[in-house]
Amino acid sequence: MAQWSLPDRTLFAKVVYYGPALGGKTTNLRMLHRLTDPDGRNKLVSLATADDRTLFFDLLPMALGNVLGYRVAIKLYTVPGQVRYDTTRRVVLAGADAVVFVADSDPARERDNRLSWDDLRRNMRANRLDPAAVPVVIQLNKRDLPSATRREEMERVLGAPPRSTVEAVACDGAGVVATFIAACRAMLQRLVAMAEPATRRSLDEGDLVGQIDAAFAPYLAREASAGPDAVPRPTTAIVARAPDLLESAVDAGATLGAELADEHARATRLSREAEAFRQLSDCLRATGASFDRDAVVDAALSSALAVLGASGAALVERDERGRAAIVRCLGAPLAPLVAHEVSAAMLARMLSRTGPAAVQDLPTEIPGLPRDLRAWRALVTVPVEPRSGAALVAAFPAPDGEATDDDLRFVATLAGHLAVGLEKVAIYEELRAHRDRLEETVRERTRSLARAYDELKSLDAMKDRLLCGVSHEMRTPLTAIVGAATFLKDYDGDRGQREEMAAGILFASAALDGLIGELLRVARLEGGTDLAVTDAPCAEVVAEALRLARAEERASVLLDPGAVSIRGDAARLARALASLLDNAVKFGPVDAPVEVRVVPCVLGGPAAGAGVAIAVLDRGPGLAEEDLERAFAPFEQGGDPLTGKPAGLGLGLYEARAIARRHGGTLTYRPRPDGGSEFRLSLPSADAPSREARRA
Amino acid sequence: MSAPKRILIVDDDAFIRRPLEFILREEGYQPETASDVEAAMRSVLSAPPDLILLDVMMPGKDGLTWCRELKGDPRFARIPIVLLSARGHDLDREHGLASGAAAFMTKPYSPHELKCRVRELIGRG
Repeated sequence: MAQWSLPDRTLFAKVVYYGPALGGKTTNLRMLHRLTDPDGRNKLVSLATADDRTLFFDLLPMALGNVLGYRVAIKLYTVPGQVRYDTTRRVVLAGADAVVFVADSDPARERDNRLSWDDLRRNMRANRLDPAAVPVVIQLNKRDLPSATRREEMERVLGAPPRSTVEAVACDGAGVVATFIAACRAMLQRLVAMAEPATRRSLDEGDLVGQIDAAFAPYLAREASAGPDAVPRPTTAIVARAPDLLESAVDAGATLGAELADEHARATRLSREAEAFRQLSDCLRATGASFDRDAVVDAALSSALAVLGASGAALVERDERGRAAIVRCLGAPLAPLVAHEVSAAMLARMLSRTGPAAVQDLPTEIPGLPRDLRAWRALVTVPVEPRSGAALVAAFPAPDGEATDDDLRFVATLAGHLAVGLEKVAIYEELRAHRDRLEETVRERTRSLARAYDELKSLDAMKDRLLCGVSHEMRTPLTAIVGAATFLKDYDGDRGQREEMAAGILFASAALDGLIGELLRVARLEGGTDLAVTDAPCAEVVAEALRLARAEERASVLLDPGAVSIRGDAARLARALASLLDNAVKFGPVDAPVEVRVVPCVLGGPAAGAGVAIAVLDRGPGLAEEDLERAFAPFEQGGDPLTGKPAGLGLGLYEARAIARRHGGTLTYRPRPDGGSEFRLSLPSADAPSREARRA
Repeated sequence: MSAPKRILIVDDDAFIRRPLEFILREEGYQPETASDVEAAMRSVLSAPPDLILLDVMMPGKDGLTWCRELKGDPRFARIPIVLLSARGHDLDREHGLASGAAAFMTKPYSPHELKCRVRELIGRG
């Protein structure tokens, strides 16, 4: 690069001669040296390699006198033209302020010219030499050749404007200075134009071309009388005998540097990839080992944080409006991203993509970025489960966080793993739910089977008791009937005997009829026949019960004036009370009266409110504690049927309690403190309508 | 002609006792009746019968128990007992025979069958 030295007012510049091998570059330099420095004050230095003429590394500082008010010192270089010295050419070309391209006019060299020209262009680019800023002057050398290609043709081949080239016969000195002056003129004009303001102020820009021409005039005069460059003037030369020493050194250095840089980049990349793979494998192991959704998600998120430069990572799902909702978040919380309208909308757009999406610079994406979003710079989203809209989001911190292509690839792979893990968890959960449901169903079935079994067992026991009871109860009157009928049929007997037998048959038949009636009532009870509910006066219910039980003479009745009538089915209530009276008469001593007490009471349960209690009290043996439950079961009678003769089917208490319950009342038993039993029917009073009555 | 054979009928149900009583008398036996074990025992103690027709299920002491007691008493062990029961299960029959009864008949029995059984045990009346 040109250097303006303000203190000693000197401009240092660099001109490089370029061109195909053997095209005359060195000749140009030698001739210039001879014309400008005939006394040889400045040495022309050549660095020769194994092939003579291959490499010249020439230096020619020339005092051009005063140009622009500055002394101009120009260093001239040429480079080897052979193709294989490309590196050297590139190095020498570096920092050139102007280039002279020496083309060979020999038609046989046309291709070499072109290749070298392309090579120059390439190496200028490699050295970041802007063709617009660094002038290139083309010299057509060897114009004295009889077969020389026409100037226009050469200009066309090299893409140069017509008549822009300089013709020369370098070995004679012709055109050498003219070429050099053309290059210097273009170079100096360019340098002045590009000078900094401070430098420019110190320049004498007046007649620039005139100044240059004046400076070079003496040389032009000498060129005319130069004569051929016959004597190769071996100047003081530094000769490096080692073959290709510099070239090798430059080559090796450059290669080594490049390789080192490559190696470093490769190593960094490999270690990053290794870490990524390690994290992926950890993540896979973690998701494989767990059936817990949160654990699987956390494994993926922590892998993301470990590998990426991200400071926060989250699994999000899209709600019905397509907005992101954070399911789980590790690292710095991403909640503000979802909370702010602007970022939420941006996130929604990213999530609507079917593939990965990245935003590299949040502050540019969202002008006026809210304060609590300034912690982030870049954002990446990758879909995990397209169906649920679940996606991984990673956020990279400000000010220089960046989501690289590698990062995107990693998150995409991670999302794949996570999707598999979540799918596995979902299947597991479904199976578990199914299993739980199955177990619950099995438990429920088992319970209902057990209930059904118990019910069947109790029904079976009831059936046994029924058959046993019915058979006994029916066989007894049947035995009487068969006995009496046999006597009447086979023996004469007297009139009194015959009448007695007939009466016995009638009585036993009535007993059988009663049994059948009782069985039918129970059947009705089980079938839940409707009650004929009315306001049944207590006195009438009691009177009917006494009649049914044929207990009028044994019973004493106490009717409280407060107990007026019962809300219920009078006939059923009388039947229930009759059963209690029947028992009292049957089990109580003959000489003790059976008491009936009718008093007001308070009902609990479904028909809560005012009620009527009808108590039947006897002086019988009472119920033993262990017989209490059985006494109320159908076809059961207190005591062992073998040791005491049962009377009736054992349906009385069962039926009475069932009737009481149908009315919303109760039948309770308690032993009397001074001996005997008290059975107590509690029924809803007509003054307090029962639920059934209210419904009606 | 010896005295007619005495048969004790024990049943709490008069409508069952009376036809048996009439029929056995017509057949030449001398029937006696009791409505429970207590009365029957008094009768046996005053004059042991030739045969007892015994109902199993009665209020108070049941027939089966009394049967075992009689069979365990050397004074009365030889009196044949026919158990009459409304319960006809095999188990009841087994219990009855195990108590030492000579026969077990299920109600409703045929009076003629009963008559035959009595004749087998103690001969004609």
